[in-house]
Order: sequence, then structure tokens, then C-alpha cells
Amino acid sequence: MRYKQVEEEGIRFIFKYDDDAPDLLHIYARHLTSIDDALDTFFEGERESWNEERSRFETYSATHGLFWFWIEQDRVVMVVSCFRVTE
Amino acid sequence: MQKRHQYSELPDIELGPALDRKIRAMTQAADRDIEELQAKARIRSLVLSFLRSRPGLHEYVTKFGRRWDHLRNLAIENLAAGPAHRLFDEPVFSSMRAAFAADDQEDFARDAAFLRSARGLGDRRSASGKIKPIYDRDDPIGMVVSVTSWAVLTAKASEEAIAKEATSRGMPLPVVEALSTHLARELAGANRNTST
Repeated sequence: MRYKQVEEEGIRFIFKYDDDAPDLLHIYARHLTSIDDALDTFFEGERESWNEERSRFETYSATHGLFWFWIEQDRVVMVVSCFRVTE
Repeated sequence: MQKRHQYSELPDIELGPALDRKIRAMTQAADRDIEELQAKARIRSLVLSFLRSRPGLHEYVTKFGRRWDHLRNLAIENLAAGPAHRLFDEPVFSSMRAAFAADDQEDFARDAAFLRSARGLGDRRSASGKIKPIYDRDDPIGMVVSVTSWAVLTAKASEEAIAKEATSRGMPLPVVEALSTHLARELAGANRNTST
């Protein structure tokens, strides 16, 4: 299965394509968020915690949440989801 | 769409079947968690907007005294905070215990019952996996929260349906009328925004 990848500040970020709309990223198709939203939250998020049950980091900014984990420590990030937290 | 970051586009990558399966499972779990988080945020927003719109209700709610007011604020603040599956976590409960340590045991038991009932709101699920709100007839703010939760989670937006549900839960008539009117208006507004 193919995945989208981009690189920013020496870190590679991998994004899943949507199953129902394979030309769109899942974060866009499902949550209307973008690669920029995910990068903003990763680099500028204010709260971060490790969810043991889900095996993922949960990072929040004032406007977005980002669920992610390291595929390769400090080198490759898998973006599980990115979503809005404000109404 | 204009990029804000200067990231480099790299060729698509193929991931192995094991990692692919793991990511699919994690994505599905994340989507369920996000749906629940957003529902809680919506419920919190509706409860807060209702309380702010009804100064008389504030007086009614706080007839139990300063403690209930404090508990209500804690309850509402925790609706949208913390782990996805819990409204209250243990540190909050411990802080309540410490805050009221000097008070008599009967009062503390009432506070603890309130916390348990509110916590149950996020823990109980029906067979379909949806949150199953609970309520306490002696806890007016709990009733407001639970009726609001019911309206959001079951997508029932008509004033009549909300009033019927609130009445069946033992909510006093003036609060039923105010809450059903408020929720019907707010939820109808949200539906209009979603459909445009």
C-alpha cells in the first residue's frame, strides 16, 4: 500500500491515503486537515502525551490535535491522524 | 492550496504488509477516538452556552451551595479534557478529596456520588459502542449534561423530542422548556452550518 511522504527540518513525515478517496490524504478526506496543519502541530504543539493504550503520541495546539508515532526514532514520523479541536 | 511550510515532496512509499495493517488499525481507532472527543467538545460547548444564557438556572443549580458550583465547573471543564474515554481522571478526583477534606463526611459522600455519576457518562457504552449517558435525578447539572449528551449523540434536534426526553428524566419543567428551546436552536444552527 502506498503512502505519501514529505520532509521538513530533517524529519520525514508519512501520511496515509484515504481508502474511499485514494487520491486524497486520509486526514483531509476525513478531517479536512492538511499536511501544513500536521506540521504546525508537530513543531509548535503545546501539549504532548504518550497514549500507552493506543501506542501513539498525542500532540495538541490551540486549534489542532495530532496523533503520531516514530517509525524510525527522530527520523521518520507516521501521522496517524490530524484533526481540529475548535468548533 | 498554498503551502505554509517549505517541506520537500518525496516520492510515495510502499510500506510492508505488517506495518500497513498496524497503521490501518491505528487509524480506525484514532477516528473513533476523535469522533468521541469532538462529541464531548460539542456537549461541553452546548452546556456552557446554556448555563451562560440562563442566570436563573445558575441560581437553581447552585442552590446546593458553593461546593456544587465548584463541582459543576470541574465537571464541565473535564468534559472536553483528559483521555478520550474518561471525563474525570484520578488526579481530579484526588484534588476534590483534598479540597473538601475538612468538610463533613455526608457532604463528601454527595460530592463523590456526583463525580461517579459524571464519570460514568464517558465510561458506559451501549452494544453499538456509542456513549450511553447516565444521570442522577438529584443532580440538576448532571441532568442538563446528560440530556445535552443524548441530543448530540442521538442527533435528535427537535424541541419536542428533547423536551420529552428531559421530562422523562425528571427534569423540572422550567428547565425542560429552557433547555429544549436552547438545544433545538443551537443544534439546528450547527446542522445548517454543516450542510452549507
